[in-house]
Amino acid sequence: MKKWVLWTAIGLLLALAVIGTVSRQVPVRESQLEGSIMSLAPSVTEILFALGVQDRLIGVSTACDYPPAAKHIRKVGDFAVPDIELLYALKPELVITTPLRDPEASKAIRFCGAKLLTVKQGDHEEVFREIEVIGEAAGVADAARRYADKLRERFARATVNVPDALRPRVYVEISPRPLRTAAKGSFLDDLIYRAGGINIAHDFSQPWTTISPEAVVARNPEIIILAYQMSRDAPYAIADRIGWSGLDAVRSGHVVTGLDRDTLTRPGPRLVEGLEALADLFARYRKGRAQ
Amino acid sequence: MTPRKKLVVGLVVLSAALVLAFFWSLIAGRARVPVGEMFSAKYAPLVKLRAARALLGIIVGAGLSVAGLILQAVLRNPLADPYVLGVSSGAGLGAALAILGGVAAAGAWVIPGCAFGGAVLAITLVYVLARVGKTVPVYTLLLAGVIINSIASSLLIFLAHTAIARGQGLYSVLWWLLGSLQVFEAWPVAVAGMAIGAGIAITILFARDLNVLSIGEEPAAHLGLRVERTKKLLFLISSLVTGAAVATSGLIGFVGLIVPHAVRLVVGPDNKVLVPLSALAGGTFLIICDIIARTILSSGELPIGVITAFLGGPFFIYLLRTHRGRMSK
Repeated sequence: MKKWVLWTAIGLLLALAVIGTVSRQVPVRESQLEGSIMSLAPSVTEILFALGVQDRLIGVSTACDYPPAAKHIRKVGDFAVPDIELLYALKPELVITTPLRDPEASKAIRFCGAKLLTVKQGDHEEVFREIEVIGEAAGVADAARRYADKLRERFARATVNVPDALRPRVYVEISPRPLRTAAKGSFLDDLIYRAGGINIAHDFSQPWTTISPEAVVARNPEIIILAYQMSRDAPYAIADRIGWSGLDAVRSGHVVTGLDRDTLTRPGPRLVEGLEALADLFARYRKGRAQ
Repeated sequence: MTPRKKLVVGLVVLSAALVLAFFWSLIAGRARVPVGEMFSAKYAPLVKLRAARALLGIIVGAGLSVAGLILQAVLRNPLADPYVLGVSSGAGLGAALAILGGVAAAGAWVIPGCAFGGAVLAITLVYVLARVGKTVPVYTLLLAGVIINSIASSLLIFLAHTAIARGQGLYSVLWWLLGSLQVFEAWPVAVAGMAIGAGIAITILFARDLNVLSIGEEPAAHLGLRVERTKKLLFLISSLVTGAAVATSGLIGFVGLIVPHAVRLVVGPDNKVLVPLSALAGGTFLIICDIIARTILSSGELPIGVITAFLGGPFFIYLLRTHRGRMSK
């Protein structure tokens, strides 16, 4: 009978609980700070910065990393997952999020006295419209409308019109294991077409989907773009994948890794930059092929 | 010490610990609640929310501990936990179906309801599979539990896989599988409390029979116990208690394994003492684990199952070593 194991375990348990209790406690605010906002989605944080209301942003999610200043704002939860205790302590007037991962949590947000704004950002037009909605909720409706219109204009200008025969076949890999890509219904699929390319996975049934290596080989992309959502996903050596060395993209050296992944996978204002970068890439490809 | 004295001392000590842990959990959390102003209006909503969590922790912790204790005694297997008979994966499958099937939106009761339904279905299947004539032998029961567990897990993985492909609902399923005492309403606490409370009360009444059963089924029969009937009843109670716990807080592992063993280590093997004390110790243990789960990260919370498993792993090794010693003698 070695009871010391038991007492050690109990001691460890109590020590961890004490550490948790005494560290990092946040005082509870008496009343709401006027105009204070919390964002639980990276795209929403980007929009709030673009609208110039970042000073009123008292909390963001752990996924909010752009612009770099966003990293210094207090973290009040994960992507679309609020920390209710922090919400209650900091008392924001307005919480803006993409659909909450646990819909039940909306009850808790209202219970903290905050107004909840849930935005859906399916495609570019929805993103632009949500900029206006967010601007209205944050009291900067005019600035938001102007900003959204500017983005719409830039987006329209970057849109390319070329016959389908001239469009390169494009494969965008957003995760290496399993292979994942975008298909019809995702804003990225739309960006590829507007930029003058054709997405090889366009006809897949889910907007963000897994794809088999065979399907990639069979559809033989001319351009492969690696845009991993997780920065720590190692870029696999594409040419070393079995059967991939014969792909047009590999043979002609069109495996692209330099694009900013956020502009292609994050439904925020920077998707316009994503479109411009893709359009530029495809234009250069067409030019090279014509020569 | 006589068993009665052990029981009285244990009840006093563990009740005090439980009350202390409860009040501790009211002031522990990311938002600071000063001890002196704990009950002022400013903090009332927060303290109520924490109290609901703590109560659920007591209920679930006590339930899982007693359910584990029953199975360890009846199966005469020190490694039995409340999930060996397939309750957990049955409940997991029920919850996942509700989440991914899209019916979860119909009301907050749907997920716990489907989880409990899944648990009951799994137990029924295990029971039917294990039955040999009119008896339910321990070994066929354990085997049936393993079989149902693996079938249900494979279905669960299938569902999770299709969910990844469709990019939906997986987070809820994962969160549920790792367990959490998060609760936003009072009714789940009340329902689980009534079900589990009744289960524990009945188990206390059967503590003597548990003692008799743990010496072996044949000697128990010679002592005049109606073995099959008692066994079935105890299995049923253990499974329903586990089902209720899992339905309200997901799969919280290791509690039902380590708490009864820890209490047994201190007070000995008499189930008349063990049952009530394990219930109290389990409640206290889970509240404290939840304090850690809620506060140890700088934002967000850790699934409580991570904490219990972190502490349970080393305990498993300890169990292995002591039993190995006993077997070699």
